[in-house]
Amino acid sequence: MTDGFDGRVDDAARAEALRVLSLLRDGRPVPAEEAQRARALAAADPGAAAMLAAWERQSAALAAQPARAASPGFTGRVLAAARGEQAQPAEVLVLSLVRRLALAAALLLSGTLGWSLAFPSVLRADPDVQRQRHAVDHFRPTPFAPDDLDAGLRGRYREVYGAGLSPEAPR
Amino acid sequence: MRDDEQALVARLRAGDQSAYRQVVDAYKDRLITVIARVAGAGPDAEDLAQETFLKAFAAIGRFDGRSALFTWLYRIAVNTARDWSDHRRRRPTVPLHGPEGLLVEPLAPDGPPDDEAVRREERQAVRRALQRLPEPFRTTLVLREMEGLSYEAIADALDVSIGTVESRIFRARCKLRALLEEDLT
Repeated sequence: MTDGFDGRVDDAARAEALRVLSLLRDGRPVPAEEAQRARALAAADPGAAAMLAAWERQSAALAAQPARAASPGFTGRVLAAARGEQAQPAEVLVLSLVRRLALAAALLLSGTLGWSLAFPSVLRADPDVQRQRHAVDHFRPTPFAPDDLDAGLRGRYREVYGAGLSPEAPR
Repeated sequence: MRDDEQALVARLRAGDQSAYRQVVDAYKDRLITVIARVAGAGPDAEDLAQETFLKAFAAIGRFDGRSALFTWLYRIAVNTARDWSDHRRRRPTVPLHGPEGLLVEPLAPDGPPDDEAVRREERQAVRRALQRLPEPFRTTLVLREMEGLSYEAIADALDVSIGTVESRIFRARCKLRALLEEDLT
């Protein structure tokens, strides 16, 4: 994995030596043999030597960057904000809301359950619904049969106007 | 964690205001500086530092003491700075504080000598290159070269292994040099 690295260290041996020298620069423990090899390469290779010199300059420039200082009153502002958060911490507010919602849901559920048990409803279809269902049955005698519009209309007509009347009867 | 730090953390957990003040006074400048350097957050660095302290105080109960308190604060500060930086990248604005978002060094009153001018130009070039250095190399290099943290503290602050820190610092140094060369040509 490159992690987006595109530094211009092409030669594998030089790159390895520079990696070791980077560790040595920061006082990291490195096997003596590796350290010796890296130092030898840096002494013999102008490219590696130039990189080390560039690191020195970079390091000095980075260390010399001006530091920031807090403006007057910063501590007071932070403490005031912290006191405000302590007075009404967000976690407590959220927990309180969650508890209230849970309580409301429990009350609603127990009320509904109690009412249902106390007054059980009768399962009975409305007469209009039954008639409508019957009408639908004229069009489709079984759930798997195709719609028969003609038979359905005739059946519905008979149901409404009686068996003796015909829609095509002369006036 | 040292004994005095354990006592300080216990006072923080108890909500002791004097402990809060002690922590803010001890670390405010360092946190504002590291946030400004990591995120290029010029005038916003103080707000982000305040947010860092508030997050730390709110989460002090979860501080397990495996790392030093300041390393833990650094971790919160770096994450806060990164979040702000990501948010700014998604919604870019025109900065009022200079292109690098860091302090602009003032000129000496009676005109700088040549070598000082060169050094200042070099510092500014490094600052520009640092802001172009991709994450996470920039943060790692800032913590090492500018904040002087050890590899172990950096690993704690960034929640990565020592090997990752070693690799990132080496790569960051090479990449920074490449960016500086680009800047000069």
